[in-house]
Amino acid sequence: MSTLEVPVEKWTGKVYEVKLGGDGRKSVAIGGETTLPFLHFEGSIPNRPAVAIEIQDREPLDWSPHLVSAWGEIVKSPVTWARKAAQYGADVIVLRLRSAHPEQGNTGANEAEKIVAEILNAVDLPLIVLGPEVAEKDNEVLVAVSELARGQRVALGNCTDKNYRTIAASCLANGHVAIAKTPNDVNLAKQLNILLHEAGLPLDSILNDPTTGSLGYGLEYTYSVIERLRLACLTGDEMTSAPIICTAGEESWRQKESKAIEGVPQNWGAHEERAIIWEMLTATSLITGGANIIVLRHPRTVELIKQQLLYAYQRRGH
Amino acid sequence: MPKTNCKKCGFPTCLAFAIKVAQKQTDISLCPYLSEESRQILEAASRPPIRLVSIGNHNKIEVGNETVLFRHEKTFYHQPGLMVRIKDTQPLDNAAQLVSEVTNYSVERVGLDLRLNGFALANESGNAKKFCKLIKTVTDNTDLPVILMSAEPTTMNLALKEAAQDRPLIHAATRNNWRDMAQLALNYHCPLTVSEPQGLSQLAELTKLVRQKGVEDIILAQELWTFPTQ
Repeated sequence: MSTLEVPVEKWTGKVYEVKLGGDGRKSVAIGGETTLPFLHFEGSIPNRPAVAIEIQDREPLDWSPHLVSAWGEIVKSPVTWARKAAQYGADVIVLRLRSAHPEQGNTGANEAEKIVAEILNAVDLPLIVLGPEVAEKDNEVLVAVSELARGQRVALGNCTDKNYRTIAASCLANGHVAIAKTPNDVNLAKQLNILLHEAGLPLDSILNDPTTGSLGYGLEYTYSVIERLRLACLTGDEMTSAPIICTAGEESWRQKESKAIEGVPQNWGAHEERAIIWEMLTATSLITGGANIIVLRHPRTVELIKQQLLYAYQRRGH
Repeated sequence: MPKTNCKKCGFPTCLAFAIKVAQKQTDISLCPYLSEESRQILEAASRPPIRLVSIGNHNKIEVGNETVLFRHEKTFYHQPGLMVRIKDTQPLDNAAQLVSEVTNYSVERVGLDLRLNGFALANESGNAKKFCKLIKTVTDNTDLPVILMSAEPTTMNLALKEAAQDRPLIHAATRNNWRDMAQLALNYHCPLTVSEPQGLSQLAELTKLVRQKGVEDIILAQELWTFPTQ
């Protein structure tokens, strides 16, 4: 019998391996692969994608009631919420400093330090801290967090082309990882990586958030951007070689299909189930595209995605 | 090319015909004077990387014929068919109701009418009569294409007598039944699935045998990995 020859590409590049946590905390390594996602027969994929759970430093007022009820009262207590997220199987905790937003509390450096210190004490998982996505407030709270968490290798985001200098310098000084966020464009992603690198940040201390489009809202664009970043990286472009983080939970729960309770056609099916499927499909697709950290919101989605990943990797003997 | 410029292919010269063949805009079999050897070489060269296979008649689904691996290189042309599986162990009333629900299901989204594409009918009972009854119930209630799933060629033959005019997908040829299944695909002019879970080389080998028997419209069956659920 003839043997089928499976075509194998000889790539020259490699995704940077980025480590989060350590120094007394659990650590997680992501990236490091020398081939496209799940092509174990072609190259090395040392780390499975990490599943992160997003919590917020104040009760989220704009979340779907289904999402809020899945967590219950603890959404008012970030520390308890973080512990619960760890129990639900998070590899990484993502803390969004929502209260620092000028219109949602306008808290500052002191409050950010306090909550991050509490969470670092309460859970031993690696931590990602995101600002309110207002450039000057991001700088204020993230620099404070960076100094407080010195040595614990957290990831701080987001750096944009407007505020990358301050965050990059602070990450460099305190041994952290910077998340560079760009709007769904391969060249902009590469450009910001070059700027961060020129600012002195080593390439193993950068994550890329290419901006997530959810199912039905640009998922295919994000997928293509990730795919093209990966192909560029594997063909040897170091400036497109950062591991990729996708905020699948935030984006899918933002959409009408997940949020709307009334006024939707009966054919759309049961609401909570639909919303979870929306988040799960968004996440699964982006993982298939090459995402290295997937940030989720609903505990059931976390369970489903972890089940998929563990199963897919167990089959490989990981 | 025979260089006769006989025009029997419909083109003024052999060169014009050859150019059209190279551009995949006409079929090499239109040339009556081509040697068997040249025909085989040219056919293989002009075959698309993934064959376009259609299932069904009225609301046929077309799959395959993709030219790129990555969507950003060009685009994808044919989305996968979404087929709902029905077993012949299920009560016929339930099946009929499910069929009309699925057939009438649609979701309108940004100007698109999203629908399901058809049914995969499984001969779970092992009984040919039950299978044929299910097929009749389903085809009476829908115009959507069907996949007929049975490993037994005699059962498949009876099923095709019932449904062949709707050009169903025959599922599946295996290492044990491929000669009979391939013959049924040829007799009834239906597409055929080839299934060989032992490995890719074995699947390729079996597919080659089925092709050599003359079946062109082939779908490869992937081994199904089901998730362990708690």
